[in-house]
Amino acid sequence: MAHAAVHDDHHDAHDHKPQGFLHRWLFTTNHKDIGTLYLVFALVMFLTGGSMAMIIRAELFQPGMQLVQPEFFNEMTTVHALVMIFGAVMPAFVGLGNWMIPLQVGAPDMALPRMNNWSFWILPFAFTLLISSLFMPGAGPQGGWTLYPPLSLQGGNSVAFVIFAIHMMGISSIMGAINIIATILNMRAPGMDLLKMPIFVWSWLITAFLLIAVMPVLAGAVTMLLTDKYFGTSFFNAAGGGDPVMFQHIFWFFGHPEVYIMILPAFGIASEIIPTFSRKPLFGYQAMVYATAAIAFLSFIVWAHHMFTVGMPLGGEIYFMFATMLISIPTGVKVFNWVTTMWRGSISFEAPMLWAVAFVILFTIGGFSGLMLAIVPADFQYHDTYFVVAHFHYVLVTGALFSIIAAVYYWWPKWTGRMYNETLAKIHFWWSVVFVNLLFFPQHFLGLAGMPRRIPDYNVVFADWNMISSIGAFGMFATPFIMFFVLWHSKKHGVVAEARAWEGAKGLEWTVPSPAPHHTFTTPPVIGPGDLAHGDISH
Amino acid sequence: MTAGPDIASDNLDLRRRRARRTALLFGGIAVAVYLGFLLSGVVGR
Repeated sequence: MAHAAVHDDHHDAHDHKPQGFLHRWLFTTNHKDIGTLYLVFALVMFLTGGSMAMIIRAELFQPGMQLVQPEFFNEMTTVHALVMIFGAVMPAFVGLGNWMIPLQVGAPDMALPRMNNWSFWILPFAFTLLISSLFMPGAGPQGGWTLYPPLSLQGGNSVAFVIFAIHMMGISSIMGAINIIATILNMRAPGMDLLKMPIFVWSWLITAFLLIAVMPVLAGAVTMLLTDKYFGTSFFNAAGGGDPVMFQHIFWFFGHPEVYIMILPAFGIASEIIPTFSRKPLFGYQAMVYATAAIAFLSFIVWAHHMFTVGMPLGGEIYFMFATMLISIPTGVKVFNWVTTMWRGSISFEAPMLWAVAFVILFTIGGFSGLMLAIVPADFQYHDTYFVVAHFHYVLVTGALFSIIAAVYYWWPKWTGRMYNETLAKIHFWWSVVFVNLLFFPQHFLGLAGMPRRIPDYNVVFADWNMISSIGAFGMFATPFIMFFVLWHSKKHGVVAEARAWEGAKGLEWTVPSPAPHHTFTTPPVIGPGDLAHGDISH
Repeated sequence: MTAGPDIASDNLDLRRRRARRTALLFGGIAVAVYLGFLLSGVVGR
């Protein structure tokens, strides 16, 4: 296969991998190795958080108390969320960014490789600290991932450890974001203008700006929680003149952009995969970039839709309702463009495309239920019910997680030099699609019928849908193990992958051999006409 | 939108120096947001 861009294969043929396990993985500054570390870490966290979800769903399999104490159930809901958000989804996207951004912009590595190593290695310590809080005297955190005071401050001393863990995760995220911005702005290959960058790179650039803007806000809020508990301040203590509702405002000023931090890279992945398997350029490349930026901007001005029921002036409720609805416009642009990219394309449904199409359909369901929640009078009914749980799991599981799996299948041949078995991958896909909908779709019905979230027991009227949801959860827990088998089978028996593993794939990452050598683009690639995913399209 | 001047350069050291400046700028912004946020809570009382 001809390489589209001139590439210094001779130089890259000398792999120069560090020898020895510790030297290779503990001290690595190589973006591919650090990307792999992030992805493996995210996988471990997915299994950890998934195990906690199994405990939650097993307890909810039937009404009545079955397996665990209510306090432990609350610990599980709290830590499941923290682990999945900060330990699984975010690191998985950072891992994909680490692997692919330098390859996609033609850079030899991330701009600040040693800081990259630090960014990763903080994470295992942060999560060891977080999970160890479950075993501390006075129990682990039970107040939900939102850490609302005064509830979150009424537990034992584990809250101090959780806050320290959040600080460490924040530092890791901010350093990772700085590195990504510095790499994209300074390390692009000659000729790759900003509006010729792959859309995944664009989505990560905007995500990195979001991270730098909001992670310090979360750090500030939890620092105030810490001083309220241990140093006698009253930022959120009404008895001392503080305001607990202020914490909610501050938390969601971080929390809503955080949702987009977990979904914008997913948009980028779908925008890479759908054109490849439609064998067409992405429809409306510039519109996609501007829509991503618009979503990021809007994410800062809609936070209070998470707290309509707390009580706020009617004008505030109306503003936050309409501002939230505005988000559906740039999001609709994206969905329209993905569908239009497929329109009259020469489509084939290899596993990455299946996951990407499922992402578009199922994420849109999550988007629609989000619109329902944006309507103030309706939200007063839905708030804190299982409808909200169904909504954000459609966004984060069938949205973020499905895109991560799509990306792994899409770039796996580039990482390992082996193709996977399509039949096995399709079994993995269809198994996941069936069980994920069995798991989360009934939760809409439970929420509409009034079942509150974060409870270990419930009225018998909710029994049937809970049982179905739990069966879906048990089936869903098998999916990572199916995926392990598919990937293990690929490593052992997979067909050797070409440099351009997919017929319709464009972009610099497909110009280097598969597997990608340890060092790539040590001399910047010379980009010719037709080399880029988007650059040869007249805007 | 057009690319910055760095795109024309294939001098890796120069690009890394610029990257360090970018990193310091954004690191400074992150620290300023954190400290400014805490101070606004204290000074405002």
